[in-house]
Amino acid sequence: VELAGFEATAVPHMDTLYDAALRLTGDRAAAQDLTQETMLRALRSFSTFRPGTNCKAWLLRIQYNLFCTQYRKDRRLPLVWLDSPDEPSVEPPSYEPGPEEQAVREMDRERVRRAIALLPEEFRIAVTLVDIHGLSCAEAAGVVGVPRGTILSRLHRARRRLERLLTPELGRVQADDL
Amino acid sequence: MTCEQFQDRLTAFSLGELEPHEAVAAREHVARCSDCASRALLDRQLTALVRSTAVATPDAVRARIMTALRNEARGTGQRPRRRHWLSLGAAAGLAAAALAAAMLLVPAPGSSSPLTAAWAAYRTQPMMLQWDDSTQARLTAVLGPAANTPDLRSFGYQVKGAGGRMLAGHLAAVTEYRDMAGQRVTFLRWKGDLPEIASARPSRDPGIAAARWGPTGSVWWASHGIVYCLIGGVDQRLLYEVTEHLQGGEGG
Repeated sequence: VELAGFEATAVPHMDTLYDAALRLTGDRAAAQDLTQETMLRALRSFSTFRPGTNCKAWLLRIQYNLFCTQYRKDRRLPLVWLDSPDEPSVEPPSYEPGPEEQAVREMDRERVRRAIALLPEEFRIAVTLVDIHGLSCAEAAGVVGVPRGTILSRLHRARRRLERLLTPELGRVQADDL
Repeated sequence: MTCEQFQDRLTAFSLGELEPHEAVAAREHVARCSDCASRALLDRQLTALVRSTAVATPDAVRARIMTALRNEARGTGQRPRRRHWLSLGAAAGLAAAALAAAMLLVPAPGSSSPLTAAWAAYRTQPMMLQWDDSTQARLTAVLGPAANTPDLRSFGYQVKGAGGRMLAGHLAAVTEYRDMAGQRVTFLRWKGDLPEIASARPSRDPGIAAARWGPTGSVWWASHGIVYCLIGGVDQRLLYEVTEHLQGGEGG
């Protein structure tokens, strides 16, 4: 297997895989193993990746399948993890912080993480794929294996639920902003 | 578009996933309804908040994964024919073993112990071996008859590879078997003292230690200055039976 092409195309998405694995498994050790196993499996089948398509979505689909077949039963609930010095919070690389983001930066990320972690699995996965990692609804639908409209409706319900849970945080953003 | 209709489509609107004609109607609505405009702003803020919780891969994890990828790339590059059996049994077995090892984190021997290295190798490097005469000669020089590959076909184990590898500075003979179900069993031998780990259960026979981590079991024992270690995603009792067979084979 040629590692160079894989390193240029797939390895840059490792942070996405690790973050999504944490949210899927709810456990650091399992997330590390799931990320590694996903990368190894992707390397082995890299010849089936079609250049020009979304590599991040391709990797997330491999990871989701692995999670379903081998990790789901071991998920620990609820997922709560703390910021640790070796696991810094990052904005996804494509993300340009706007004024809202500047305002929320100081907020308690932990509370937001917990709110996301406590969402039902289907909602949490939709939020992880689309809102956090920037997949389109169609791409997320391909990862999970449901129609695009289902992803959209899960996202909609997840966001409304988060809105209720995070009203204090959002209120603060608005007050600071206006 | 009414307020209710807009709010039903709020998420799709924010994501730019509305059908073109609906997107036009939604934009028109939000331009003249301050209520819905502030709902849309709130939705944007919510997304920013959610997105800000993403975390990066810890450096140590990244390094471990890159090592595994390099080993994999090197391995398959040299031994393409190994893939078919690997992708069937080994991938599943490896994931199970990796998960088991993730749960383990029992008081393990120091990282300088060959046993730890053996476990790490079992977790991360399922396909590591190739027949190689010079390695075999070195192994025989160090380990004597223990370097030979035992025949375990009576247990349904087929040899999938054999060779040598360095485990924490010890040259170890490694044999990889698959059972009928494709489960991996790895048999290792190196020169040294019997490693002790706190979680190991004393077995019915003195001199044999065993530990089970999730679905993966292991048994190790020492004889004549050589440590023998079996690791596999199979029934622990079966590992004992293999152990007994192997101890019988070496004459005690």
